Amino acid sequence: MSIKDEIFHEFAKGLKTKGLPDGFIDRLSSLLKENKVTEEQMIELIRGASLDVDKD
Amino acid sequence: MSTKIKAIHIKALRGISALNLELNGKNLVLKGDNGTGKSSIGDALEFFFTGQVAHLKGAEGLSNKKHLPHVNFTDKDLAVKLHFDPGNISVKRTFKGIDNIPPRLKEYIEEGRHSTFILRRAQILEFINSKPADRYRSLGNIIGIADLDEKELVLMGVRDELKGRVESIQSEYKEILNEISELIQKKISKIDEVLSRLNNMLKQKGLPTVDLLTELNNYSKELIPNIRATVNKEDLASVTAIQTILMDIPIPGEFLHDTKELNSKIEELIRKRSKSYTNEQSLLELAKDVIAEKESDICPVCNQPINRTELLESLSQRIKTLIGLTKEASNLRTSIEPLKSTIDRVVSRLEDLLGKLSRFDKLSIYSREIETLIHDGKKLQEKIASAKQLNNLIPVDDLINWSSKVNKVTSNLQNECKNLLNEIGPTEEEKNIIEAIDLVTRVSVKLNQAMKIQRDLEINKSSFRLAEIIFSSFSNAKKQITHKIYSEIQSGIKNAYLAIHPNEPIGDIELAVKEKRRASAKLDLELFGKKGDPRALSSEGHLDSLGLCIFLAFIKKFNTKFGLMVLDDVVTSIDSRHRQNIAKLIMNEFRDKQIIITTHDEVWFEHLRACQKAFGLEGNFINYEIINWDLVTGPQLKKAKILWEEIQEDIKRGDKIAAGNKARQYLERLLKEACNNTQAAVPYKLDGRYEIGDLFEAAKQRLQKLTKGTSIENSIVKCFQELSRTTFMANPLSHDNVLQEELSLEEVRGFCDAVHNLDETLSCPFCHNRLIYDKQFRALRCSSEKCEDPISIEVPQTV
Repeated sequence: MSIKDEIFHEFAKGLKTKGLPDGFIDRLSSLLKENKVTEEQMIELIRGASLDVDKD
Repeated sequence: MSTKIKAIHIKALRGISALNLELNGKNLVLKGDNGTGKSSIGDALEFFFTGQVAHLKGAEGLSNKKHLPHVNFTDKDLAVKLHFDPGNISVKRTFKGIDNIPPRLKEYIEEGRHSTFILRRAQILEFINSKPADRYRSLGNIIGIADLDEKELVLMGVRDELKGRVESIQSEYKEILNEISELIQKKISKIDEVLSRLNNMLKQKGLPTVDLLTELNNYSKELIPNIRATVNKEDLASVTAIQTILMDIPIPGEFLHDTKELNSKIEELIRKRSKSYTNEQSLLELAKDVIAEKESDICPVCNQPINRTELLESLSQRIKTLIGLTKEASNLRTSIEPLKSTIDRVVSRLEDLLGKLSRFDKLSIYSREIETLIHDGKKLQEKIASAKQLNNLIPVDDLINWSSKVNKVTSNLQNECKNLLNEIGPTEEEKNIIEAIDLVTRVSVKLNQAMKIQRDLEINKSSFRLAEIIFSSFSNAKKQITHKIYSEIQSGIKNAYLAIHPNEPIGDIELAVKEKRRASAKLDLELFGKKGDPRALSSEGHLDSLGLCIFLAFIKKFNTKFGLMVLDDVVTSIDSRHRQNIAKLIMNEFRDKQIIITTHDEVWFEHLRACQKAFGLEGNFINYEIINWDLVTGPQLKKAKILWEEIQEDIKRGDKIAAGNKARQYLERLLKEACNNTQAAVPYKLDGRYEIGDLFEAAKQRLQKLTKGTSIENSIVKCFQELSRTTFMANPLSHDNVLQEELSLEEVRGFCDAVHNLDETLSCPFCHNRLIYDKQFRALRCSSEKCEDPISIEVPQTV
């Protein structure tokens, strides 16, 4: 595992212990691994997740 | 048997149009001048294993597809093919992807994809120049995780943005409760308090009350039939709707006062940016200014060709990142958000209004004015977004001007609406009903807005909490793993550093992540019993070798399954003696790797070759020189020969000018080494360009002093006598000079032999490594620790 992968693995582990769902963690990690992720893309993803939580 | 690269075939990449490099699984040492395509080989290998070249992406305007292909080709032409042993397998990578990888190579190529295996000169220079505050990033660059800093910044920006939105919505909610309080003439702190107060007001007017807040919307419909048919009810509803929108438009004066304060904070940050305080940011800004002003395509520092546009874009991106990382910038982003939301709201309300004015002639005459205000409002939105990125100040004057026009047109329209209501002409009783309808409608609209804002607030609060968790988890994970890496390579760094600087009083080298900071590294070096920042205690050369040691320790610890290591021109500011030690360290400790070393430095090239010989590794290395480069053909390589072999060939061919020229270079190099290895006193030159004339006397006097009364005294004296007699030829043979013709081949041969004799005399008779003066042992000794029969000549007591 590369160092970057190790950091992302630890990151995912941290989010999981905070109770975040696997699907969201996967989407978030893939987006962060992209070359040029923007704040707007990230906010869209987070707001989407918040709305899902809101619906639940 | 471990996997090795047998050949590298590069097509249409950077400075290489086409190149076939046969390695036969050996290590490569490649010498070439700057700008001759050496680094393109490292780029090609990085592209092959990872599908991209990290230093050619990320910054705006810089992309692999645009800038990795050779300028005469397109991205479709670019290809890197590696031929591997054992198995005799070829694998090609293009922009479309990589060939199917045979199972035998899967693990190797996968490891290559994940590994940091290239160290470039730019990374070392960044490390040397970095102040403690910037070191975390430069270290991240060496171990290959620097781009994660950009991702962390994005997450931090998202958190700030959402925090700003929450604060903005909270104040919007408070504002709307105030507006409802004004309408119902009672201060309320929550929506639930509205209904009882509103019913009280309706009772006072003798009108029916409302049971539930959700029924407010229908209240008007129920009361409108009580108004006479002569009153146009549609007109009445339209005017009421316009009045409701108008209530939501005016911009409060104190809001503009806050904006002035915000601007002074932005100004402070922009001013800080332009102040020449010495950190990485100011250094980058200075570099950007110099490159922008010079309008030259040559780097003012290293004289190498540069792509000015790309470099400027890359510098801007780096500066933006550094500024974005500051806490003040983070707070500022949060503070600007309410201003942005207000402008967004007003523009949106003006757009709503525009669609409703055409029904009434008296109101439609304001349409053009409203359109202009919408247009100007959108321009302000853009400028405020840009101010948020600290690109400019908030245009306060424009904002004040726009706000005053907005407030004025709103006030005019409110008066026109009142007049219209009078014209519609209801009776006193009807007016009472209309007022009640108006009140209920206004309260209803505001309540709907308040409820929507409340929902929005909950979502944004939840988004903010989530963003905070994501940011802190990412930051902690990065910190934790980086800290783990630092602790695991700490002893490796020290061992490598001691191997390069064996006689220096070095204590601990401590590398750690600063716990309380977001992205900060602590790097302490103990030297002469003092511990502190390496910049304070050591030279640029020491920092250069320290950066190299960090990379080597990292490779040693983490790249156990990947056998390739590339060092691209990394020893620029290290002196000759320590370079020898680096060469030894590489030969000693990295025999399991296939190493590719590129350099523009002839002395380092020769050290590496001498070391191959001393360690009996000549068969494991291929030594190439780039003899020519042009855009069409790319680098032209030839196998490097030892300079003395080339001189002998020139003499054999009768080419006295070529031989003499090379002998002059040979002598200059030997004298540089002799002065360095014996600590001779050479008069200092500011430009650092030492030539034979600067070095000859210093080397001669020092060597004669050190060898006086020893077994090599006579050889040294004879060498310098012979050189004194023949060195005058160096100049005419190197330049277009009439004396060239006067010199015979025999005379030139005499000069060449004299230089070679000096080489032999200054070398260990057993291993041919250079003799150095060891102050501790007071002796001229063989510099190789591996030498089986090292020479050691005690120097006279007078030294």
